[in-house]
Amino acid sequence: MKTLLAHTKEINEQLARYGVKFGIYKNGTFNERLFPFDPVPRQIPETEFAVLEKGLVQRVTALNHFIYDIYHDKKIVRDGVVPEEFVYRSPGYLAQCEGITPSKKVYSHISGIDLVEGKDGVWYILEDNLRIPSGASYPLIARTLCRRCSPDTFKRHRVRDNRQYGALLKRTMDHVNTGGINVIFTPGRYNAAYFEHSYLAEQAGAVLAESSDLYVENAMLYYRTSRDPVRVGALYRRVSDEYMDPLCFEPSSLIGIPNLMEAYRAGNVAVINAPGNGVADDKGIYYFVPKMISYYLGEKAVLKNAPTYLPYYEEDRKYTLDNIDKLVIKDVAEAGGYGVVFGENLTREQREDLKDTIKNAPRRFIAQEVIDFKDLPILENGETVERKADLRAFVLSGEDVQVWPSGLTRFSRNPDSFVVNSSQGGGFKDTWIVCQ
Amino acid sequence: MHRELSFYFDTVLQFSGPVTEHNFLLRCIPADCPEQKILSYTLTVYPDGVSSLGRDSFGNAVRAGRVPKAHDSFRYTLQGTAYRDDSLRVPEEAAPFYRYASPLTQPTPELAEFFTAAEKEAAGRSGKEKNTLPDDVSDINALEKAKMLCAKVHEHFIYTPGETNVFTTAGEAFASAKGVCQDYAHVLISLCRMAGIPARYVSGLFTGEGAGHAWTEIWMDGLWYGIDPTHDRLTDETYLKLCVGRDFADCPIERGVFSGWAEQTQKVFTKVTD
Repeated sequence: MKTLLAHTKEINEQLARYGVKFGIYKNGTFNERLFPFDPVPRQIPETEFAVLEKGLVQRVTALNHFIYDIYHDKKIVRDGVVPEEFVYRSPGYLAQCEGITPSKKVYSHISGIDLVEGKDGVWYILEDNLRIPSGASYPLIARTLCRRCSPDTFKRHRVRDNRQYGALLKRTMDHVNTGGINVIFTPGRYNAAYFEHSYLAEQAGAVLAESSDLYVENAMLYYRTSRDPVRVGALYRRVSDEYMDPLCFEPSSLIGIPNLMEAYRAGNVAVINAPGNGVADDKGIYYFVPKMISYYLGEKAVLKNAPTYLPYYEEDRKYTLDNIDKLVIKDVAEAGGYGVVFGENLTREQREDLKDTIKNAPRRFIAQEVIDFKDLPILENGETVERKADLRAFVLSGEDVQVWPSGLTRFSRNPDSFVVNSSQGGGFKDTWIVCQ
Repeated sequence: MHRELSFYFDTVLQFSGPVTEHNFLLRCIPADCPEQKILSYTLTVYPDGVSSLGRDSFGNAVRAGRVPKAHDSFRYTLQGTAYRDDSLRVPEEAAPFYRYASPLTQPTPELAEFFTAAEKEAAGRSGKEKNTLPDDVSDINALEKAKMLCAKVHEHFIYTPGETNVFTTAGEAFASAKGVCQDYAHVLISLCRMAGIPARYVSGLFTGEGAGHAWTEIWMDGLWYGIDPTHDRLTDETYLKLCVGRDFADCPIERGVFSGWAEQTQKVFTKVTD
């Protein structure tokens, strides 16, 4: 391990050369910054990971059932398990996707599920990311670089290999492919995650394309080449729903593919992940995931949600208002660590304002107990310090649902902060699944 | 009363210079349903390129196409006949999203206030204020309530072309009190949904010569009823429905994107006779 840690600088330099960067919008300007890598790996024993695996597969399976149900029969709403307005007022619900059945009925091909480990050793689900979760490429390339710098470390430690992510992604794409090539569709090199798009294309043997390389004709998606156009059977698009097709969604989008939705609707191309998934990873819907698991699968959830209250329900609203100083309040419409407020950090006046806002728009918020999650050691200027960290697990749904035996561990660089999102300036670690 | 309508709908888009890679989506093929049987129709698109037919999530027929080659105008012409008889409507479910605010029909405080005032007035008129809550108008059915709101919307607006555009929200149009049929329809939809009445936007044509029209449909006991706030009346067999959605953004009759620096002007001519 010592040799590995001694190479921190080299690994970070290599990462910078590869362009492992993160773009951040702050106060209206776009800044690109490096995503700092900490070489001390998070280690999860294989036996513990097996439980996570079971729970994650179960969760993603239920979420996939939910999305299908919402855009078709809506049984879960009719049966009163999920209140109707949580679905139809969700910004992630897209009426334009009603009635569409994606190839093989898979909606969330690549799910990024965020978890934290409490000080008590219990894992909690923090949020589901079912739209276009990013981040798998970072531990993937970091592992490769670590192995290069310190091969002996990986002889001494029995770590499950994570370098098969590309093959796993390819299998996921092949499974839903409707005939044609696999394409990763990127908004372009100014996108925050462009490194990831290009790296995953290379790893999965897919073509990396921008909107000008692609067009729809006769409800088929084509990729332009110097010779004849080639049909696209699976499109892993890294463009968000609203910019994906200017003729169906945001008309001003210049990074979309006109009439992509017509090709998708006709079943002539698989779109990965399916548009409209946002209805299931809404912070308000999160509360209902354990209920979904029992509704669709008849099982008890293996993994716990963080204790969550919905001010929408009177009892929960009362609890939230009475205990606001010890809760974390999240605005359901925001993402990426924005719109998250810790009651204890508010002044008395701010707290009263927030209470009024909650009373006026209870559907807009969820409240959660602050989980005292485990600190992980990180190296800072040659010293070991403890910082909060979470884990994004990647779950791929193809012929079967599989959890990638690794994950993105993000940590907060601010010792007082619980918010680990990269868009808030954190760093990352490799995640080792260790065989005993 | 049944009618046989002949319709003609011609749109020419003129570009100030050549455009290429023109992708379009048309929703001008009239809805074919029991109360509006399409006896025949032709849709000519020029230049056409390769196109496909489909059906969107709101049930509208769509024609999607792509013209890669340079062209400086684009024209689509619809012609046909329809048999209209509203007594032939068959009951159907209203999709739940027709009960919730959509992007262009989000209620604003002004709209909410207007709605509350209208409800109070209606309650007063129905002589109910003595024994029940003043805002209890539950004995008025959805259609009666929508008609009352329709009259209010009609009264509020001054029909003024050129003041609003296709992106104008119900709230914005309401605040300026000026607009065209699309704005009237959006405001009425917003109010009906506040009243818990499923409502949707209709793009269509009606008897006579002119341009396209838009109105509102509300759902009650399994049936959709057309209600036209621009003229403050219920629709009848002189109206021809082309497409529907939660608001205009779901169902523009034509949407297109192309490459090239060109200004676009549009000429529309419609003629419906019986």
